[in-house]
Amino acid sequence: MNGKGCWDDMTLDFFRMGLLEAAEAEAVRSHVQGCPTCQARLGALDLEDLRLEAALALTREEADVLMAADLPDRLAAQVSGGRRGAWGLASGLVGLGLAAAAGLQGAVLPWLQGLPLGGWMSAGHWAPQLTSRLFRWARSLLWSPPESQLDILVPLLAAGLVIILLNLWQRRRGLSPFHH
Amino acid sequence: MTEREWIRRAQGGDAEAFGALVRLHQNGVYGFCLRMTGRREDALDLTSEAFLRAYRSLAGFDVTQPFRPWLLRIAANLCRDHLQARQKRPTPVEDAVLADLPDSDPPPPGQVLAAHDRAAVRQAVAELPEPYRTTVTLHYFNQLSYQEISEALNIPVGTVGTHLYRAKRLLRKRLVEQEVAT
Ligand SMILES: [Zn+2]
Repeated sequence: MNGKGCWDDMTLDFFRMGLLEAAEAEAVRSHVQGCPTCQARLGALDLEDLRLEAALALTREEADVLMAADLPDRLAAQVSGGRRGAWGLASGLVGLGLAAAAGLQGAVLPWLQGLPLGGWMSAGHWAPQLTSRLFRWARSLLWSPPESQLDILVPLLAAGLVIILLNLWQRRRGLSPFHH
Repeated sequence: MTEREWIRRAQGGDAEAFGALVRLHQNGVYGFCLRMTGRREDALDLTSEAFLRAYRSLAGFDVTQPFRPWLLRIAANLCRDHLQARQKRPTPVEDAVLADLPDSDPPPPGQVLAAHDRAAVRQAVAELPEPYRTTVTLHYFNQLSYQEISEALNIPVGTVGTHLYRAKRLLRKRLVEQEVAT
């Protein structure tokens, strides 16, 4: 406080911000009511605030840059892509598990050997065959004895791994829309 | 649809609702990052990253709380990390150090910003020490209340006031120096 009883700049600013204790705020208020100097100081601080707000506001040009970046659609696509990637990863793992189970059951090789490959070009011939083959394959999965079929199992496991790696790669690539 | 409904839907993994939240808040987050970094490319990258982080943390967000300060807190943390990496200065400037900044007879409050154009003021804000710049930007650009800034930055509300007061002293001083130099 100076000789006229005027408060220092910091107290006055805190008073304006409403950050003083109630008693001190009341003391400042009653002084300011009778002091044109402090009223002018407060007015200058208010004006300074308005100028700061105006100076920091986004310019038209800055806002245009943001609009051109199309963030809402890009980011929405990115998070939905991330979810698809997660589903792809899950289905890759499920496929890998199924392939392993089928290979271990020894069901795949006999099934492939039994397909009517000579009739691939005429759907009328192989479609019913394939359906009944699928049915028998599913049935055989349940009670055929385990048998080593590594030559089938290994390619199937590799295919499952490729699916998973492709998914991981896609997810990593999509981390930031501005890093191409 | 209200902001709270968009948030609830985005929490359930609705990408369209997330896009709507981005549309609603992108000006605030981008402007904050731009005033903090002073670079448009950095600001766009940080804005994207802030929204993606928010999306990943959205499940833990309490919809009864205000969303904007929560989102800006994420952006503020990202900007702070980014600026520290940029300045290759691993430790943040401590408040005690900032309090000791030279402070000889700054011009009287309110008398200086008036005389300067917006670009000069923006430049002076961009040169403020990081904690002051964050507080000034959250208050004068994002219009957060002192209480909201206190919660977003996890500092006492009195410290918010001190940061703003000291930041304005530095701004007045910087702008007067610039005027003398030109
Ligand atoms: Zn007075």
